[in-house]
Amino acid sequence: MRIKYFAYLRDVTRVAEEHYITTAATAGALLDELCRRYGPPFAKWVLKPDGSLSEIAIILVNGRDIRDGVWAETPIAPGDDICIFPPVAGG
Amino acid sequence: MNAWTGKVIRVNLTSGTITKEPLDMKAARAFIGARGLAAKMLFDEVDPNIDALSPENKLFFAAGPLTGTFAPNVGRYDVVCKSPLTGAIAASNSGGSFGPELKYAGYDMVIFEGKAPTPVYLWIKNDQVELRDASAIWGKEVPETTDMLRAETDEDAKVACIGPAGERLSLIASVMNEMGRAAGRSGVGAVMGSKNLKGIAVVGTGAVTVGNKEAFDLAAKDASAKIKAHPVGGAGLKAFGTDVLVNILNSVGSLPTRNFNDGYFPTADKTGGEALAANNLLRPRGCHSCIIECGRATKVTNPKFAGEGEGPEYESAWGFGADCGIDNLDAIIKANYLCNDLGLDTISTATTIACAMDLYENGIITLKDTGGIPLNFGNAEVMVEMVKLMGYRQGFGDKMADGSYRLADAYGHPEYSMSCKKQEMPAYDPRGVQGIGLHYATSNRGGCHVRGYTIAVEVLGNPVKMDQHTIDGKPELVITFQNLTAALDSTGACLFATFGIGGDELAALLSGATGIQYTTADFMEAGDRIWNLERMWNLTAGLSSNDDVLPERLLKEPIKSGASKGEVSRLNEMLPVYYTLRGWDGNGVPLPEKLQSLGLA
Repeated sequence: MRIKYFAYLRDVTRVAEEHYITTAATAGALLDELCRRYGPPFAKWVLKPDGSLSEIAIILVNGRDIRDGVWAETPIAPGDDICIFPPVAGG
Repeated sequence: MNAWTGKVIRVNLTSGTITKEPLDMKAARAFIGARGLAAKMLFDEVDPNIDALSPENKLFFAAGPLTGTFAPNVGRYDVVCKSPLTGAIAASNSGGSFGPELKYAGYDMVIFEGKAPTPVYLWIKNDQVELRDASAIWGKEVPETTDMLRAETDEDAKVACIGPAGERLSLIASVMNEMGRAAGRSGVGAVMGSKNLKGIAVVGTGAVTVGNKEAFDLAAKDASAKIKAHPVGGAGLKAFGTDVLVNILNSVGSLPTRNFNDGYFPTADKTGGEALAANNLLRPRGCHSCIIECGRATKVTNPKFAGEGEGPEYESAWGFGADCGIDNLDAIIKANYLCNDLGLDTISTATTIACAMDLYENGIITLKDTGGIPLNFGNAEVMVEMVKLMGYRQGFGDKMADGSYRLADAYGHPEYSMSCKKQEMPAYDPRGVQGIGLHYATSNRGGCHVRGYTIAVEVLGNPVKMDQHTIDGKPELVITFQNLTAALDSTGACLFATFGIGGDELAALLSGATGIQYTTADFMEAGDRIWNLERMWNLTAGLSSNDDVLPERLLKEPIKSGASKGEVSRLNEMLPVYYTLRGWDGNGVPLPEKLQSLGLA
């Protein structure tokens, strides 16, 4: 799959996007894996202090926001495009 | 008098007389200030059927009761008049320090009537208010105008002025204050130009008092803490500015591309807030009492587009970027600088260029029309050149200086104008985000995002998330945001404070500042009242439900690529529900009982 990182997350991952191979079957499992890989500087933007997914981080699977569906349980597959935004906004 | 200063300056430019009047406190309590109170006064004083560029139009510069206090993010004022672009009511909102300085000088509002026989500017220093000759300044761009007015008055003066675009009555001209802040939309700069009014310079050494110091102090600390604690208000906007939205909207397939021919721009990342922060950002910049600092002080070193100034924010980066098919960030920034200097609204300028490019690529206009300029999508050099030509109404820029609707209509194809009520839409494709389309269509000032920013919920998930693609609950969402924003604008607060606080906190701030108790329900009702008053003014001006529409392209032509591929706007399913929930009849006219409940009957 292809994972794209935005805003602060690029400071941690050092890449804007990467091809990534995982056995994770859901968005939540993938996020857990990425938080372990990139550590607390990454995790603080996408997880709440209790370890659950942030309500205001934007995580898209093929352009669809996981918060509009089953959230952490959103299934993922090898060919998917994943976008991960920390909480940012504008207007 | 607390929060409000209780004084209004009225300037008759025809006769040169200046009077000072007490503020109508009954109206101030009901309509709060700034946008709401000036709209009420326009409603009472100006026939909606006048020519917007005639001396009969009036121009209000209005601060709110919170403007100039030490509450967080309350540095704003509104410019209100009849819009020459839309024919509807105009209220363009700007930050910086001009609004607070007007309050410190002792005034809530300045009203301009008539037309000066020769160019003038208004100089306000506390009790001293005088009209001065501006003949030597007429013709100057915004930075030089600002410097000259400060040199003639006081080096600390806060200056609001027009540039060459306003002087030439461009219907998309802005009023600029402190060089880089804009009351941008609806052609308010043209109204200023029509009155031969070049600028206002103000110095105030007074203060804004509050009615309940303890309550206000608590409310201000609470609001500040909540904004600072919020990831967006506390850090995100300062780090990346609003331009960080480019990648978000592109990723969800709702970044209007090439004049809304698509909703996805493959190289958008080159124009986003991340690229801006990495390559051009000198420092973040905030307005009076701002603890967010979304403003961008930037620099371009590329000799072709070199310069230093303010911007771009998201709408400008999108307009000169994806909407024109351009991914050259240096060119985008340069176009933004030129708009600031010439006094042009960035959204309408950029999208009018995009419209011209669309007309050109479809053979509706040719090199013969453009004076030999190839207006292809993606041509960054031409895009920058067109901004200059529009600001000075030179060559083909003259035809473009009145916005996309009049340009496209002149060639028999108004459907190429991506506008509502003849004002250009901003940077969210209504086919991919359903609620914002309903807002665009019903906004009292035409295509506009900041009077009902449903993107916060539909895309950002702040404070809650709703699916951007559904229409369920969207009429209710739009109404809530429209009412909240009408009230917020009227206090003098910044919309971005809502990335941290809401109606509860704003009502508490207003109560503490004024000493008058506003519940959250009172605050929201004031917003509803203001919205309905603006609607009534527009209906009398001749607008109707026939104007609550989106361009046909958005209703019939699906997005071609990206995450929202295949989507069209479902406006026509949402609009009747919106009217009913508003308490309006099937033609969008407020019912008598609705008006009575708001004290507008």
